[in-house]
Amino acid sequence: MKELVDLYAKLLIGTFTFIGPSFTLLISLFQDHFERVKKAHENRRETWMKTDSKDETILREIKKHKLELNRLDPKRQVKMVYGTLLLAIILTGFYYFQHTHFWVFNYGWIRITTICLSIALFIMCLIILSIVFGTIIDAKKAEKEAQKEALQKSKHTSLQILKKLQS
Amino acid sequence: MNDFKVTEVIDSKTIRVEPFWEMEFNGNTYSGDRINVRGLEGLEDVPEVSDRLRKILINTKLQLSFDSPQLIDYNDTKNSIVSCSVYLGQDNVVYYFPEFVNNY
Repeated sequence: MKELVDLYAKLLIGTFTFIGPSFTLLISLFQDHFERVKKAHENRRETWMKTDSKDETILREIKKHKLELNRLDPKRQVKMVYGTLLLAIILTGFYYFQHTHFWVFNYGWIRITTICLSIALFIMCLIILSIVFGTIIDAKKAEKEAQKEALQKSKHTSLQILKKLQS
Repeated sequence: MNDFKVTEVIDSKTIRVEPFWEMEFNGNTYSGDRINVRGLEGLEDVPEVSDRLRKILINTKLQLSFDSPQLIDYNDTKNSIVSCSVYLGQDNVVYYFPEFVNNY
């Protein structure tokens, strides 16, 4: 059991040192696309809200775009990932602290609860990280599709503005 | 780049734009100010659709674009009607009518 907890603690520290530079690199690479997708979601949300409709489908669309906007906010992503990971590390530290002579209470359930909470927070962090990486993969795909669409659109005829004849 | 503005929603599938559009077809030049919104053409005159079109298209700050125009009424070369895919920003306008478009 002790070895497992030691391994888990090393995994936590390893994840913490890995995500820092990865995040910085990935977010800076896709910053432009995030801004564009964020703008698109804001526009859609505002347009939906202009309709003043109480229809269930539309209210769900508005909520969906709000969630997408939250997902695309890098500051929020960083807070969620680092927050859960730091809490997991603190709880693991607290678990080790409970094995020292400074900790006078000898309740097994506190130690188990501490380590279980830490593991739950670590799993939450991994889920958030997978959502972030999913967003980045979607960003790359959408960029390619947008380039393809722009190429196709330029091939279609567009309406022209009538030139006003000078009388 | 299209630079049109919607001035009126005539019915649940037709809008009026400013300035006049112009299009060449079979060696003739056609123009008009009415556009049928592709995707809403199968609807009967539905007040909710006209109302929503009015709210989202008139005085919008988003870029309006009209793609793949197709002449549908060209008896009068100066007052023709064209059918287009209408885009508000990067979204087709039909996206804002899910309950109407899926039902016909």
